[in-house]
Amino acid sequence: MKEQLQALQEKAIAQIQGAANLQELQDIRVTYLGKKGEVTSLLKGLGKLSPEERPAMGALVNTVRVALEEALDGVQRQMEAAVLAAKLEQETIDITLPGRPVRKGHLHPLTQINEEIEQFFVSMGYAVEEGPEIESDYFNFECLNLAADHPARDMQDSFYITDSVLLRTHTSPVQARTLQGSEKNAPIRMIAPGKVYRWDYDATHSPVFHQVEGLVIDKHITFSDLKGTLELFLKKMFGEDTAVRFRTSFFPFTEPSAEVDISCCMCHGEGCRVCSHTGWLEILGCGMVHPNVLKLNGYDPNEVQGFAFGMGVERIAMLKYGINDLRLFYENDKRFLTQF
Amino acid sequence: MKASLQWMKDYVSVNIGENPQEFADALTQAGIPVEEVIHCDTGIKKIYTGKIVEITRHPDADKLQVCQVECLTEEGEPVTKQIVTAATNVAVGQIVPVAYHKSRLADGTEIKKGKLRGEVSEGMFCSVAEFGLSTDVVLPEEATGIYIFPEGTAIGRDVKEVLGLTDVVYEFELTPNRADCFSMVGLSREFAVLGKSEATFPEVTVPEEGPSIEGRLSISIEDTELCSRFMGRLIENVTVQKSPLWLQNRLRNCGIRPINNVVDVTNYVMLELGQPMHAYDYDHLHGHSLVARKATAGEVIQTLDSNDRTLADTMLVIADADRPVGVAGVMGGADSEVSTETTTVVLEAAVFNGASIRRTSRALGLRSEASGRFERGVNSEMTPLALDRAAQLLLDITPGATVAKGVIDVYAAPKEVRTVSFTSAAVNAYLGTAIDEAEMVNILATLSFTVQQEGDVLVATIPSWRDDVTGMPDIAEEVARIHNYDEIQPTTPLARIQTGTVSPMHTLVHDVKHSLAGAGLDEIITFSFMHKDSLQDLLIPDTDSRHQAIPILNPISEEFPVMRTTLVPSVLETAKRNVAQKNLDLALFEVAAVYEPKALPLTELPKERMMATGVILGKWDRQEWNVPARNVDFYDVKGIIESVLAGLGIDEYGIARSKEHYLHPGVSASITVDGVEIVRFGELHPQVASHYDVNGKAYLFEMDLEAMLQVNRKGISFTGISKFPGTSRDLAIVAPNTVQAGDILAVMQEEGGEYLESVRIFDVYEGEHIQDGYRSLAYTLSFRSHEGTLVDADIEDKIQGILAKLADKGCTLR
Repeated sequence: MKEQLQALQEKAIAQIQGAANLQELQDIRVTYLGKKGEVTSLLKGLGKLSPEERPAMGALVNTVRVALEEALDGVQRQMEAAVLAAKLEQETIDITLPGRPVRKGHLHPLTQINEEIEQFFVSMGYAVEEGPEIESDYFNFECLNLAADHPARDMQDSFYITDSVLLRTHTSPVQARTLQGSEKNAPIRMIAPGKVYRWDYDATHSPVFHQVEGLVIDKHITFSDLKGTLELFLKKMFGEDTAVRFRTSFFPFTEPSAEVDISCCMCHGEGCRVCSHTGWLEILGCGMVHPNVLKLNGYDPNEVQGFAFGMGVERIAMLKYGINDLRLFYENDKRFLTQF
Repeated sequence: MKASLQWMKDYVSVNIGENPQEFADALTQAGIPVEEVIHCDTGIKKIYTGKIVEITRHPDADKLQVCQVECLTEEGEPVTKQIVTAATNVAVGQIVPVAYHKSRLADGTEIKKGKLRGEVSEGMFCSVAEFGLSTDVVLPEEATGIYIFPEGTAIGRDVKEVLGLTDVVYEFELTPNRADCFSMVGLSREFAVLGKSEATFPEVTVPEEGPSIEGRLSISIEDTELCSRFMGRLIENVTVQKSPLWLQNRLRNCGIRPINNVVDVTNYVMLELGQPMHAYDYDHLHGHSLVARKATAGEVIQTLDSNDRTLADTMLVIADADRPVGVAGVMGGADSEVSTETTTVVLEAAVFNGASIRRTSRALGLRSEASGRFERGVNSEMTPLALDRAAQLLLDITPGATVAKGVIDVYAAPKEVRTVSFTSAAVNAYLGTAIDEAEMVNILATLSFTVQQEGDVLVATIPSWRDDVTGMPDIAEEVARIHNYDEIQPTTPLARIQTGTVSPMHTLVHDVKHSLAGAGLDEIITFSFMHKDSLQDLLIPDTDSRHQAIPILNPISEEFPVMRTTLVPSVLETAKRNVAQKNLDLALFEVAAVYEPKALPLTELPKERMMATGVILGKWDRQEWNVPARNVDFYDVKGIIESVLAGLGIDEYGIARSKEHYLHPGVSASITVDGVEIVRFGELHPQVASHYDVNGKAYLFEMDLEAMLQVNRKGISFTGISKFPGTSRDLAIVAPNTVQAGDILAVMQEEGGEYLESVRIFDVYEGEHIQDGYRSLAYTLSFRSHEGTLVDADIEDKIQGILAKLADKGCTLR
């Protein structure tokens, strides 16, 4: 009997492993384990055995049954996996076709640069201030130590509306407005972004352009603070490895004044066409607020001091993105806009 | 300002070395910006001076001459070279430039020995053009023909050296505060400080050998506000002729055209000392007098450039007994100009009010080297030196000339000596530095400030040429720039922590921009100007307030005479330009101010109203392999508006038909909150579209951000989520065309009861099976309760209520 069972198991296993498909496997299952299957019949036949023989034989038959079931299930899983794999294989698609487009607009590069500048300064506790674009001579010039007939007025050719009203030539009048709008000698930390206007229109000048002004006033603000602040800003804007250089300059509203250069972001200071082979790029003007400006706007230069800076947004955008023509900003060609 | 480095050696011995750019950089760093380092060398080679000793006609050519020229070989041996020339201005005895065999001209041409019609020519004679000299800096008679050197010029000399072409010139882009640096001497001080050397000025002595000036020339100042000092000298027995080459070269290298010895000397001294000067022909001065006075209105003078100038009574002139002989500080008059006939010269050195000169020169449209210097400020303490220097120079280069004894000096407003008090601690506290007091004093001393300790403070006496230094911050700048800005260690400000703040409008602008870009629009930025004709193009009637646009007195172009009162023309122009570039599918917007005057002409600054204006046209969906193409329509622009408003938390608003002129009356809408319009949008009126070459339909929107800012905006607040499933019902309503979708929606929302969660329109149908004049609108109504699962029966009475109300409007269930 034992030998018989052994033979049965071997035969069945051989058949299972030789099964060609799921149907054959199912037939084998029925042949051995179905209601009338050979193993089932053996189990049913156990009743004919003596009670002494029955447990041992029962266990033996059961072992065969479990072995067959395991073999059947194993082969079945393999077969099912193969069937699924074949099905998935058939479902393969062309992954190089483009995806369904997701609609996405673009902020103008000048807006993006403006926002980057604002984020930096707001994160340091600066207030963003604004002022009118159509401005009085008083705020645009006089309050900034630029009296009538000051030769420095020639540095900025203006658009006039009346004798005393003009399109602001810089964002600096917001300095004067902010000082005059504050409590006397109160600390100030602000930037003023906005449109400015100068009567100049050629390949390198636009009659409308954008500036960001900065002003910090407090008791102990120093020229070295100005250097530190702008260095932090420029490294944030152009990368940590950017070198920053301060050169002596002149603005009527600051003293001392400086022009700030950064190492050329195109050639990293090696010298190229963009930096006229100097390795440096002029990026902004700044200085310690002139005592006259403080006085003219109701502050006491003996009590407080501070710094101011002003930068051209177009210039920064051109350098940061490698834009070679100023006019592109205002032509607004879609092929330009969608690159940012 | 151009400065010749060879000339500079007269005042300061700075070792500039092989690379003049390096020292230029140091000057730039210290606030004396060098714009360009100009090498005067034009690349000419092997061109030497030679003397023509014989001229014969060319045997075979009428227009050629054969010249024998005394030259030196390159080794210095005398040699006679034969040169064949077509030039007509050559003569025996002249010293001329001879380009030798294998020489090179400025344009790179190589000259070789050759034969001209059978006659050997060992080179050629040269004109100034062949040296590469600009005709701007040579006399008209020198501009053409062979250049002739002055008599006595040695032969065999390299023309490069004779004409100063070995020089290097710095071109400065000086800032207006440094008036003192508009002169060689002023610059030499900066050279000395930065080159760690010392600047010296040559001794000036004027041998006064002529009879006294007394009684022969009178000078006076009538308007002491406009003229603070007026000096004159009389030079007699003058022969007006060309200046020696060394002087011509220096002027030329500094960009000034040599004219004659008298004029050249005045220009030379202006470049050297910064004092503009003028020379008059004494015999043409009526009454032998000069007065600085205001012009009478309408007075006319012919200036040196041969133009008649009508003067205003605010302008200062120099006049003789009868008439103006010069516009003070701007340009001399033609009547008293020094000419070859002149024998007696009056040299004038005066100081005029900068602001007045600036106004005069602007009014006359006449700017000169002199006016530029006066505008910035001329040091009246330098005037006597300048006058003497000019007299001495003129004497040196004009054999036979004599200087009258004495000088006339009317010094109406002597310059005061100024001082600035400071402490080194204050300077350090200003700069954030720890510079030794000794170093500060030393820096200031090298800049010719004398510093003295007085009690606790230092008192710096300001040199007469440094009017720009008025307070401690100026002292700080002098110290810092010479100490070098780069040596100052950066720090960051110590301040109380505060939050950064942004105004509500700034935030709104930011949010709207991001919302629109998020909705698929590209942002544009255009000029703030417009032309009023574009309002006509937009069909906006003259009575509309947008015609009240602020005119610009000096517009940049005819295209843009006024400040814009609407962004629509700018946006449409941008679309037009893009379409012309075949960018046919556009979704553009701009956020910017429009300018609304309260009255014209302006009585106060105008209102600057922020607007967000956009246009969409072409295809919203481009044809893709898996997406069909779809043109933009009204509901695209409406969707954009709805998404922006939703993003801003504006959810309660009215919508009505818009009356905007540039929009299609049937396909446009106006969104209002509390009766105030915040947005208008719709299809561009076809007549407007054709003005802007828009083929197909374009849709515009204008958002008034000023008005939006006033609207109450809903913040984010959470509503609990029901645990129970809801139920929904689809209703297809057949409605007369006069009933709007929104009307039906309103009924549903009103009658839907507390469980109505949302209503969505999912189909609109007109056509077969629907009666003419009617359409079918299909809605899904979703209901949900927080208390339990809803079943159809729970909502049935609400549905019936809705249908009953709709029946009143002539609507039926399909």
